[in-house]
Amino acid sequence: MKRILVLQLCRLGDILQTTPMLRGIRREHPGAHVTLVLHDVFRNVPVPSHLYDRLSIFPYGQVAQTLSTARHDWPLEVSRLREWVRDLGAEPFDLLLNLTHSDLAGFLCAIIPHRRLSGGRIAADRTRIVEGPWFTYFWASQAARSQGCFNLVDVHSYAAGVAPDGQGLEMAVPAASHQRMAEWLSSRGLGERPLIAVQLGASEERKRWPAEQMARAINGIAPTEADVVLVGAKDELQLAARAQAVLTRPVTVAMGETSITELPALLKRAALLVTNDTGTMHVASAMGTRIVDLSTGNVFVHETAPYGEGHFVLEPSMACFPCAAGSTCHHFSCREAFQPADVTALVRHALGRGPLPTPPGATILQGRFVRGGRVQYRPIWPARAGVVERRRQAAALVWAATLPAPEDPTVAADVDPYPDRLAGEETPEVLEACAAFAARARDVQRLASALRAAPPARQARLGAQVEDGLRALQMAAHMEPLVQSIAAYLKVRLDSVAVRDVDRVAAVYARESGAAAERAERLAALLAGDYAMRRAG
Amino acid sequence: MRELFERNLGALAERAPDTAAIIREIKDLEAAGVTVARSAAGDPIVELGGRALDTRRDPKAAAERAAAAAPAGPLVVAGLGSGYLAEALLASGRAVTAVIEPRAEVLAAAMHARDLTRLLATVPVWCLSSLVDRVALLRLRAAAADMVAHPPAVQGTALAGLVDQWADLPVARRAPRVLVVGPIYGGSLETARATARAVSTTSAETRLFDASVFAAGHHEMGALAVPDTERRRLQGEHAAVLGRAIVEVAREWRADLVLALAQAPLGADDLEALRRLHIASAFWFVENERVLTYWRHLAPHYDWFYGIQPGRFLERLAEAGAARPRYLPMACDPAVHRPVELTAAERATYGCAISFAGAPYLNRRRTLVALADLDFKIWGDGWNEPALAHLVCGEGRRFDVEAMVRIFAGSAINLNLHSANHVTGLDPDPDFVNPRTFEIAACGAFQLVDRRTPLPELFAPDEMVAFGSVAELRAQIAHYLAHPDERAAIAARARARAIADHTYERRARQILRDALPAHLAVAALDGIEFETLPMALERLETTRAMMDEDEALMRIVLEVEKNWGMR
Repeated sequence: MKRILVLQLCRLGDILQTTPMLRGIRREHPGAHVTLVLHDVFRNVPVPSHLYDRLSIFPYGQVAQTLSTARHDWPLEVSRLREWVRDLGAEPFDLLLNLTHSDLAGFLCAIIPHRRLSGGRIAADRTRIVEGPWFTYFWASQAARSQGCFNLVDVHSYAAGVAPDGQGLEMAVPAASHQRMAEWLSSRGLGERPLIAVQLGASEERKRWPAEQMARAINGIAPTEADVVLVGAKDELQLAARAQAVLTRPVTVAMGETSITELPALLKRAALLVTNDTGTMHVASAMGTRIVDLSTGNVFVHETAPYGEGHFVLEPSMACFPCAAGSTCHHFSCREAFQPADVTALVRHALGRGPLPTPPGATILQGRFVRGGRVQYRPIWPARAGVVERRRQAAALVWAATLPAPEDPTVAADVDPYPDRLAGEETPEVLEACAAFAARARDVQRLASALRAAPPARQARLGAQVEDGLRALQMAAHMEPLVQSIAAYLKVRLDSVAVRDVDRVAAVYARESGAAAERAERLAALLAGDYAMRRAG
Repeated sequence: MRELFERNLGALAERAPDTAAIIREIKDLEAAGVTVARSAAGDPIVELGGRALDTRRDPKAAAERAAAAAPAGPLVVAGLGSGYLAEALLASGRAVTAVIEPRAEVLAAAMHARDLTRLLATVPVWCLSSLVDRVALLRLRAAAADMVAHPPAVQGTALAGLVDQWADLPVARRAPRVLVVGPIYGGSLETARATARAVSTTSAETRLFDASVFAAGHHEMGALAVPDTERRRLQGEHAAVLGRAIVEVAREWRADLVLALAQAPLGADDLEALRRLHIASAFWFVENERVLTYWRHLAPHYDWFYGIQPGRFLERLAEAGAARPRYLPMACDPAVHRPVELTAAERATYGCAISFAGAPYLNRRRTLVALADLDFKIWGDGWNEPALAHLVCGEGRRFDVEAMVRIFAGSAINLNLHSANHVTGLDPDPDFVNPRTFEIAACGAFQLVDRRTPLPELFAPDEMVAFGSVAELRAQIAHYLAHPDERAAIAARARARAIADHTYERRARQILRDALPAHLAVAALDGIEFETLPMALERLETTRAMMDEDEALMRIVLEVEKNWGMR
């Protein structure tokens, strides 16, 4: 592997979540030349320079601003982008990792020369295809979110073919920023007591626990116990004003006062960050600062929780949580699942000053690095794993066994990722539905295999039967959520078949239907108590 | 032969009147070495200095062969010769958008020798000499990407060079951007707005920098309790800040032209900054150069300077350093200045024999006193003359444009008296025509206007009645009050002329034609349909089964544009 391009056109948090994967590439491919692409709006995010050889800035804002004043100038912007692509070099990249799940990135992957791609791409026939097993898994998991079991950071590493190393995110913070923040805190009389940083904002309304509630939670921390600083951007000051109306204790407002390198320097000095799911959260994670993450709306802890050891996540225990991808919420009732007193208690617990709270309508999870190096969030309240958690662990076992998931067994060797007894709570109907799905997938596998060797006249009939069988599998997944992610993976994979040759298409259909069958069989066996299967996994 | 030529000339005059005028002037073809011979098949062939401009064997067949090899898209024919190639291209269904003949005598000879009426009635034929006007040339280029040359007719002429350069002539791929700048306050504010509206009727992207939104601050500064000199300095600095803001807006928007109206807050430094940014500047000074004299300081700094006074003022502008002084009279806006039907109530308010609407300059006050015995209405504020008090309507307040068009409609005679504060009679320097002249005309109303030097060029005597003294005015009033049909006919002709020749749109198009780079001027004036990005993508999707790199890049640009607002 000589040349690798990493396309990361997302926001601050996503960029930081790319750093462990970059570290893994450095470790496993020390001779490779790594190009990292960020878009110009986030060009100042301080990704440590030892993680890449070249930083290429995609002129997103520049193109957009030109078009906003001169729409007719689009040919010039096409030329600008063509030059940008040319500047990446004519020699194909050995590996193109597309970490951006947008059409824009898909079109870029259609024209950036590469030998192998992991991620989404727009094919020449203008359809979207996804290449590589782990991004296929990621796209499929969006259709079956509740069964998601891998943190996005680990998915990135697996997609790059590197093992997670049990280490966190990285940021390069200049000494001057640390110095300035030390002075900033000192000038405000902060530093004697533990410092709690609070982020009131989030990128969208449903991810934002109300500022007034957060203020009530802060009121529960005595000024003698800890100092509180509100962090965030200038445009979040209106949230601070809402909080101030409720606050009964002093807080210091740092919103809009910190640059992209000063925010981490400030968070480094905090004992704890209390936050919604935000970029700030990932900054704190990169700084090794412990986090209490309040997950509401469409935030899904098992995908995007802070990447690291010991962080806490408080989330609602509700059937509709997390919101399904693409859904719209009108009631925000999950915000009521935990109360300010619960947050106060969890903050005090995280600081080592109180017991773990036991909110009746919520779940508390804590992150750990587990054997093999990945991060896993496990419920610590309620203490006993429920059916959803058992299914998640079973699904993780299945995916880790059937997709290439490099692991370093020496990392966190003593932390078992599957500590719970998985069997015993599923009804016979669920297990039967799972087995029936597997059997149907085997049928499709047989039909597709037969199709390869069949004469043309029979191929048409077999082809129709394969299509019928695949439709039946998708229908079965609608009826039984347990197999949803397996069916979704199959669909994404088959929709991404770029070849048109009947033999090769049939081979892919046979292989992938067989893989779906195997996953469903493994899942059913694990949940039925087949410990042999579990050990095999 | 003569009859054939006249028929050809008639057809030519329809499609290309300027070329027809050139041809009419040609008296002696032989002196120019142009003669007509016959081919083997008996077809007429134009010869130049004894050299045949089409083959002597079978010119029609040769032309058909050449036409068959011509590109399919719109094309211009370089070199008419005897006309066979252009005719063959037309007959083959090619979209011939123009023919350019380098020698007018050759065209004239062909018109004498052959029936070219179908060609001349279908395709404009240009003489190369007319295409020194770059806008005219680039109009041809914008309409046709290909040029097909008739080598014998082109050889040894400047047209041969044009054939080589044709593909490289600039064609606009975007709309030009024109920033119109108005004053902070004052009479030219409405002119600025009307000009911006007029520019926006072209294909140029238009923005108005409306400095009047800063007027309150400007006036407040003028009311500060500080010495006069300090107030003026502060107001000057305020205007200077606006000047810098205009430059910034022009730079950020990447304007091609900044078109400023009189009293626009642009100083010499701002104009030089625009020059450094390669943004053209034009100034329409819609004021009397003798009343407002600041033009002297600005003249060297504008690329184009338009005044409403022809003659001596243009010379003075050149002396002051103006690079391109031009005469551009005032105008009307037919969307605003239009005939209106008055209701009964409006007729009661506005109906009268004679009216005057405007500000009470000294010469107007004195002149109107001399008419105070007539059935008269005066509209406007500031009319304190005791002798006129009984004539003042509308409670002596300012009137808006909607009231103004009703005043015009309600008056049998609208008196239009150019202002002067330094004399008691008619303006002794009548070298410009005020906007009111055009506005009343566009409203289809009848006016009597004091005689102005440039008026005969703008309106014919049967379109506009002018007076040279108060005595003459009184006589005209008496006559026209007694002859309503004459009034109506004159007013109708004045309106037709105003709408045809004296609209802000015409003026704006003139400025864009002059001041924009020629290829952008063509784009602005001819309404070229620019292909938007979604249109281009739709075209690709319907014509190509597979996406290529160009399409992918275009789709990326579209994605960026779509997603930017949703960040």
